[in-house]
This record gives sequence, structure tokens and C-alpha cells, in this order.
Amino acid sequence: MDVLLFAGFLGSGKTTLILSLARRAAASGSRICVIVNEIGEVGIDGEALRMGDLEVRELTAGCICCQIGPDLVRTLRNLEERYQPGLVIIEASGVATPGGVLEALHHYPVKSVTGIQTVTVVDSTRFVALREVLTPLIEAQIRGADLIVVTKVDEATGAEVEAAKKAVELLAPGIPVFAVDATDDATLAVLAAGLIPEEVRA
Amino acid sequence: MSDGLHDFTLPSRGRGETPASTPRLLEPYGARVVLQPAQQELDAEMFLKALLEDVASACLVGGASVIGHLKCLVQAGDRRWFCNLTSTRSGAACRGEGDGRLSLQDGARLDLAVLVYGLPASTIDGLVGDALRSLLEPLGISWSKNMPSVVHASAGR
Repeated sequence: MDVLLFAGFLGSGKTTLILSLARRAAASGSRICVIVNEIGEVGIDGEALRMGDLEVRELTAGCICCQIGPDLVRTLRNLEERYQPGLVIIEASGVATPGGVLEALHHYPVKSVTGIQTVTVVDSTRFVALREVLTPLIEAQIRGADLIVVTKVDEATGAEVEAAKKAVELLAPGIPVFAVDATDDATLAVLAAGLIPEEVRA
Repeated sequence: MSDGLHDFTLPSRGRGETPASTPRLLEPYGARVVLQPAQQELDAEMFLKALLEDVASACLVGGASVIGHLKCLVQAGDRRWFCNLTSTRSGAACRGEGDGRLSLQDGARLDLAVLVYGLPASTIDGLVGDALRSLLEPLGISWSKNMPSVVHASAGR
């Protein structure tokens, strides 16, 4: 099974993006499971994802990048045994770094995982301000990405979007950057086609 | 968490903006609120939006340095409404089932998560209580609030 890891700061739009992409794949009959990790003790995103008719597992006892990596691995193994999904989407907590999650997955390998791609979601309305005050975390999230999605472009000013894109391109040179809003079907379709393996979509 | 990535030194702020005791860490806050059965309907969108915006504003006034994410889910019968907020500039956004009017005939359950930097959970709890009081008491809706150790929105399903 393939794994898509979504990272990005709190409120950056990970759940919305996952819902949109997973619905596209699920509509074609693909078997997709989602593991959602929330830093708080009250899990709300899991319920939002279930409303999209997705198979969801919640991990809310800590952060999967530094506290409950073994729980993530156990959950992946359990999903594999019970559902044999073609794709597992992991929504990391907003304070997780992709590197920390990947380290946990490398430390406790799951044999059936054939590939892992990391998508970092960036809120264009807040990126510059957040980077200023939460520099190590925000930069680690960007540097750990295989692909970066800049969200909320309909809410941000043109200058904010450009500043966010320019900053992430400097932090992660050569990494593809997409800018989307929740209603941008064309870009979302391109993203889905690029991120969801063909055999899963088939 | 103390790996250098999750701990943050807040930027220097103006005099009086940050109390000396302000924690530097994100202290996740979560609560479950039970709305007691009542005759009236609740306009979920209006209520949730006002709740999150009131709590976010109060957190900033109270010394929060960064608004991370505020989110909530109210369930009444088989209807659910979600709302979330990441900045006071853009305000809260809600979505849910039906026209947003929830019957409180059998009561309702509200799960709320507040993730802000610079305020302890106990302070946030007080601000949430103030916001709930100011929104629900004029409507005559009784409520109770818990800060559970672990709450999943899907618990009990």
C-alpha cells in the first residue's frame, strides 16, 4: 500500500484538502483509509472525515512525530490486516514535522508500505507571520515535503500568496508548489492525479 | 515535547502585552459541552461562529501570542455542524447538515478544541466558560462543560 503523509501547521487546510482528494479517489471505488492525528485531546477532524464516508482511525494521545510513532505503526499494520487499502492517508498533527513521522516509519517498518510521499500544506494567509514566530517548526515542515500545497488563495491577498510561494520555493528549492482554494476543481484534479497512484484510482 | 521544534520562544512584545508567567508552549485545550434539552431550536451556524470568534478574541486579549486553530462540532440527534477558525481576520467558517437549525428537544453535544500559543489550558477554560455563558444564558439554554482526558467526537458510536 502507498502512504500519503500530510503535514502543515494547525488550521492550514489539511483536512479539507484530504477530504477533497480522497473523495475523488473513493468515487472510483478505491480503497482508502485515513489516519488522523490531532495534538489535542478532543478529536474533531476524524468526524469531519467520516462525513466524507472514509474509513478513519484517530490518534489523539500525542504527536505522531515525537510521541506516538509506535501507535502509528500499529494502526498502519491493523489497517493493512483488516482492509488491505491501496492508499493510506496520514494527517499529521499541526505541530508534527514530516521528518519525525518518516523516522518513526523507518524505525518500525511496515512491510506492506511500498511508497511514502509527503505533502506539506501551507496557509497562504498566515505563512509569513507564522514563520516569523514559529521558525523551526514551519521551516522543518516545508523542508520535509515532496510537494507543497499553498491553500486559501481565495482568502489571501495576491501579495500574501506570492510571498508564501516565494518563501517556500526558497526553503525547498526544486520541490513542486501548487496553489489552490477549496473550490479550484481543476487544480485539485491535477493534484489528485499526481498524488493518488493510478492503480489505486483504477 | 522538548525537541526544539515544538518549543518556541515568543517574540518580544510591548510592555504589558505578555505576562511574565505566560507559558511559551502550545497547551492544547479540549472540552465537551452538554446542552440540556430545551424547547427552542439552535441556529448552529450563528452560535458556533460567535463562540469561536468570541473565544479567539478573548484569547488574544488575554495574551495568546499565536492563534493556531479553534474548531468545534455540535451534534443534535443525527445532525452535525462543524466550525473552525484560524484567524480573527477571516473569522470562523462553518458547514454542516441541513439548514443549520438544530432541535434541542433531546439536547446536544458540543466538542471544542482550542489550540493557541501562550495561554494555559486553565485560562482558556475560563474564557470558553465566559463565552458559553454570554451566548447560551440569554437563550435560556442550560449547559455543563467537562475538560475530559480524552474525547473523540465519535465516542460511543
